[in-house]
Amino acid sequence: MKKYLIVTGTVTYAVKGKVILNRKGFKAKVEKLTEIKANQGCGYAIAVTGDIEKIKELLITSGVKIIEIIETK
Amino acid sequence: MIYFDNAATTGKKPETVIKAVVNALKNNCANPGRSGHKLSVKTVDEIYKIREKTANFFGLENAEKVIFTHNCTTSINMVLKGVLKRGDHIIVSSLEHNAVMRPLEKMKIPYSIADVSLTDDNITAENFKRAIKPNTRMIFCTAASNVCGKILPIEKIGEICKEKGILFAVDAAQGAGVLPINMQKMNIDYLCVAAHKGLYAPMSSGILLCRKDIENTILEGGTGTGSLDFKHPNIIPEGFESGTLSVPNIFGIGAGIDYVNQKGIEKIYKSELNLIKNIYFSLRNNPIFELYTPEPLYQSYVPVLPFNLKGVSSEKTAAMLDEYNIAVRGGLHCAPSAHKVLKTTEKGAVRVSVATFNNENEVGIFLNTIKSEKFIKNLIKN
Repeated sequence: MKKYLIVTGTVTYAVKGKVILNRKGFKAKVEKLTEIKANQGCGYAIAVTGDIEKIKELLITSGVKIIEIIETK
Repeated sequence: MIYFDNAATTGKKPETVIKAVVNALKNNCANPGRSGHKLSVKTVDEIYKIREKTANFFGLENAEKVIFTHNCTTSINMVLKGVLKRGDHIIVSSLEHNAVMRPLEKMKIPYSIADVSLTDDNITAENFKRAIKPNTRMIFCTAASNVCGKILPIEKIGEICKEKGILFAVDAAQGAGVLPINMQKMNIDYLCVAAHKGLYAPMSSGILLCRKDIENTILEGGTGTGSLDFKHPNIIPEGFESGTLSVPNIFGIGAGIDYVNQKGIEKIYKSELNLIKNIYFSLRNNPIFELYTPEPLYQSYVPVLPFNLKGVSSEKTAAMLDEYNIAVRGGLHCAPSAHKVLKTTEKGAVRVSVATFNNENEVGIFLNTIKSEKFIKNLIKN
């Protein structure tokens, strides 16, 4: 299963996203990005595995603003 | 000491609050949202849980709209200075604290004062409605007066704001923890809370809960977000929590909310109001005392009571009570507007305010003391 790093604007949104995904059965945690680009908000991301379309939908409908999605190995 | 100055800050904090503060210092002593190591992330997680708990307690939909501040005054300043612009008009009540009046004076925002009736909430609501102008942007009022305890008809005022499309901000410094406040139900857009009072958190624990955005910040600096950009973000909450958060205080807020929930807000309110009623009726029966409010009826007053000994300044009475190890507050309580309503601007008032740890026995000692010949003689002599 693919692992994604979902970059959010603030660490609070990262935690909110993690909580929402965990409640829906996804294995998610908050991680600090090791390389931060100028546009990458707080430098925190939600690390999650699973159906990315479903994950995106859950986060967006809950008001979590996604800045970038990075696919990792 | 008998501590009857709980409207200033609750004088005894529950053991669970103290334990939570110690736990934060022992086990969560990391900077949340900054460093990214395990302890920092764990602390962010704990703080988010407290944001959720706080949001639930006040009927706010989204936990990320809870901002932790230094105190209620900071929260109020953040709303007034962050939202209002030149050309806006605001309506405040006649019982507001200087935390509202002084920023407005400084900002030179035109304001109207809606008189609060001490007996009829419909009149109060009507006064707010009548003060609305075409450029009225916001109504800002206290949930309950810090001087006389009068509860304002928040739900009714919220309905007016919704109907007229006006922002509604509430100063819940005295209401939070004794009155059920639901932001959704009451159409409150901004709620300012002094968590060190009715929520029993440590001093310098404030909260601002938002259902609408705030355009401008009043403090800029590090937020742990977008560090490459010198332009300060106005994202709630981080944009409004510049600098390191007081993690121990926030843990105290969480434990304080648990404490109030466990005791039950209605039970707390009723038992505290009963203590105040006993004092009220006892003082009312003695002509040497002056009272300024009608009987503190259920759902009409919070447990705060102003009084004076006839012909004696409030500060002098308060100082004498202190000699007897009874803590109250005299003077103007930073709310001259409210004293103007009570006609006590000149000598202020002695304010008695109780909390969950006060009891009938203490009320008895207080009444026996203040009514005793010795006390009155000493007071006049000095």
